[in-house]
Amino acid sequence: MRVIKLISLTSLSILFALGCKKEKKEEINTEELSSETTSQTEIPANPNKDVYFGNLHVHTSWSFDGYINGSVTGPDDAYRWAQGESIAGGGDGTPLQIKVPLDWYVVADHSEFMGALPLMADPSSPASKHPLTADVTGGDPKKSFEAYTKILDDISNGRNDSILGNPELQKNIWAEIIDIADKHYQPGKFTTMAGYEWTSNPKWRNLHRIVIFKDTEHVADVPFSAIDSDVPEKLWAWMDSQRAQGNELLAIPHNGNASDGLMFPIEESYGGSKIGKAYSETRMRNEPVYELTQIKGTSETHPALSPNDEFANFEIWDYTLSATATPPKNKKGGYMREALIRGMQYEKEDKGNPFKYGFIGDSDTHNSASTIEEDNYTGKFGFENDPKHRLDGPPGVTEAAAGQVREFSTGGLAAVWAVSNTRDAIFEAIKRKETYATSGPRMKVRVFGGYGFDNTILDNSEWVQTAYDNGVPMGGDLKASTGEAPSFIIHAVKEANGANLDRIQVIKGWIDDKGDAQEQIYNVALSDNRTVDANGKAAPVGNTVNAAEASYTNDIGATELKTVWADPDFNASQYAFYYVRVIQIPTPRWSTYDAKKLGREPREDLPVSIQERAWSSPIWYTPN
Amino acid sequence: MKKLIKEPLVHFFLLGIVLFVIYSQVNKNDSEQDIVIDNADIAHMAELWRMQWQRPPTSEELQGLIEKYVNQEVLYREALRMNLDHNDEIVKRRLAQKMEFLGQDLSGLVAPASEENLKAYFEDHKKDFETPYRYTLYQILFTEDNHVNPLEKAKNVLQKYGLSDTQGMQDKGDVFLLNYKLKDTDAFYLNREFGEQFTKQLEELPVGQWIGPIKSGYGVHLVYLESKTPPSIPSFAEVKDKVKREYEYQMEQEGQEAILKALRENYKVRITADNLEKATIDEIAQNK
Repeated sequence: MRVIKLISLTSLSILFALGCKKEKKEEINTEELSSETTSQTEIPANPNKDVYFGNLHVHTSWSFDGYINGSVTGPDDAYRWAQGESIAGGGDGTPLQIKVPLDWYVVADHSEFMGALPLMADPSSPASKHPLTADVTGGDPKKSFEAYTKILDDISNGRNDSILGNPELQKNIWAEIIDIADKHYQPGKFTTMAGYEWTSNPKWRNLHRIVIFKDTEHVADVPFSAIDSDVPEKLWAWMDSQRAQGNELLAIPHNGNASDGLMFPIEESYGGSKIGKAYSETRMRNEPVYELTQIKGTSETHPALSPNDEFANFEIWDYTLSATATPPKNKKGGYMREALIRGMQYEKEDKGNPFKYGFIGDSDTHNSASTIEEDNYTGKFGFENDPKHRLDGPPGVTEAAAGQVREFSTGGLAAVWAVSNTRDAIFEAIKRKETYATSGPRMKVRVFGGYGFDNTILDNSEWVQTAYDNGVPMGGDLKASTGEAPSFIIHAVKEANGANLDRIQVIKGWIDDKGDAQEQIYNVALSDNRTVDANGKAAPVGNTVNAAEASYTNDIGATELKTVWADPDFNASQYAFYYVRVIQIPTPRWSTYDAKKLGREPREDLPVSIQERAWSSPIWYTPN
Repeated sequence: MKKLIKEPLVHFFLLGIVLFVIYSQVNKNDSEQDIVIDNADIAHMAELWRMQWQRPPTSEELQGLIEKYVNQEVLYREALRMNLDHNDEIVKRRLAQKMEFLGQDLSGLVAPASEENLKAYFEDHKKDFETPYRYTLYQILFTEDNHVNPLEKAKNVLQKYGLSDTQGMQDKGDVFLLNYKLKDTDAFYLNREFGEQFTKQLEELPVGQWIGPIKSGYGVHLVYLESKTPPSIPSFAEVKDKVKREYEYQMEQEGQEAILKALRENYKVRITADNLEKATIDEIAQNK
């Protein structure tokens, strides 16, 4: 926050000297940048790629709601946390520290009134005289929660706030955010990027997107915010114009589950576009991957949409952003799997495929730390940094809101197959969808699709090379088939210090000859010598979770699961996609660890254990 | 640096700045009996109106706003004169918050990231900049997927083939994702790939022989270290950027604490409450 504070103090002659210091700082940063560019060329590249785990959906106290709800840290602290340092947590004062550091991290605070609320404490800033300042800083949780709702309402209705959203202030804060990202970027070791969140929620229906930038040299002066427009088409138009100016950037949508069907629109979008080629191409050019799981729930599919999927009921968060805490009416249009299939229908109708998304998992923490480790979860907001507040509800919130907090998950991880741990390589991997989502654990998952792969290939230590040479990785498109069914090399290894694996599933979606949407789940690899029955179902792996102790053992499950699987029901004339789901053995949910900390029984309205998982980006098949 | 923060002269300088800033904010151009309304005041009033009504105030409305402002200012000054701000919980909280905020930046003034300060910081914190252990190693793994008792299996293989060279061992372990040979790698990378449990054990292993069993989250390994380079301290020039980043962060954190500590030294805290534990009372008294 240093530079911002200084700028707000410049009217005071006493601090003139500090103004000079700021200029000097900028000079130093240019030097740092150029030395980074030179060292970047020395980073070794692995053509067969490594997987890098990180998060790009991270808020700090520089987000209006992060600050109001108790975060005491900023972007600098967030980057330190991701690299393994301990930072202040707010709430009950417990510091935050990750057990195993991450490979990359992107702070993406809300662009609306970015960084302005912490300035309410600065006597020289106009923000300190803002009408909401007394409520926000006054220490009455009910009042500050009302202030939060008021600000969110302004954003939802496109009302700028001339003090908190002052353009000059916003420009300076954005520059500071970029500066902090650059300071922590260590090519080959730890990657950061410039990013922000575009906070569009018309009538409390979530259309949020994270926007990330490939480099910080060409990045825009100010983000395009939801106050500029809450219409996704307008955001994409801005992104296209940025790209034309040499500023490479991507948007990542999330929480379709909280959009009441608006995220993956049916026939017509919120912005009024009819779904057609132009809409599809624009959307896919700007947002190649979707955030499938995060703190506010998983939006792979809803049990009502996939009644035959026994694993569908996983960390579902069935609300919009409205304070009424009621489930949205429309599930269709809010979940990824249904939209992936419908996207192929549009393509068949010559409208292009607007929903050809790869997957990542992410956080949405508002407390700088994406505490994805189930036994180390500290909540979404600063005021949840206390197990009592997580289980009984944070101060000042209604009972309904307390229920929403209990149903939060710990959030997930974005796993990215990249040639090196650099901005360029990670950005490009996301762009080509060579990514997968996890609900937190760092299992390693590889998927390749092609023709003619046989079972013995995995015995060859050079199999990855062969797979790249003769197939496509996750996120890719299969070549046309001459009638032969595609085969998939699928390989999963458990997290080094984590739980064993239960099974690998292939989820296939296709359009049948009548034009109807179809989905099927195949159990393709099972631990503990289990086999599938005549209906393709497999017995449950078992459950070693001890609720009272909040513990589990690896006596069941596998360290590694692998297979080569060919589609037994392939029809070369039908549109289809295949994605892989890797399921862990049951482990305690965060709420079970919290109950143990408080010496209580786990709550009966929450699952005691969950089966964490990974989802690969799909591989698509398009008929000739 | 810490010494500098403890200098009384520095305190004086610091506090002078704090007081000046606050004074200049609160008082602006107004003297005690004059109430001055300048362009900035009018702009602020009009802006607040605009935020509420979505349009600028009419001249009549603006006049009303000014009247209200003047009345508030008069009452405020009278209240100050009567010391009504004293012991008001909201006023206290707000003023303390403002002081805290001002304190945050002062460390940049008294402890700039000069070459000299950075070098001194580096000397005091060398350990933080240490390079990780480096290795060239070979490893094979036995997992529970393939063996009922991987530990026994590893011991048996070691007994039988433990004297073979690095070529002879490759096919004795399970086919697994991890590389057999890891050339010129470091503990940072090994922590990512094998987990901390495995990596930590390597530090104590002898070089030039097959050894084990070494456990990781995946199973049981046999390991051959071809080379091992213990951590070393890089030169200041090599890590200057990192030193600067750490220094500025630490100074900001420590600076705030130091200022509060310095201010607290001017006060004597006496706890007359008699229902507190003695340990608590002692601790508060010590936290000067």
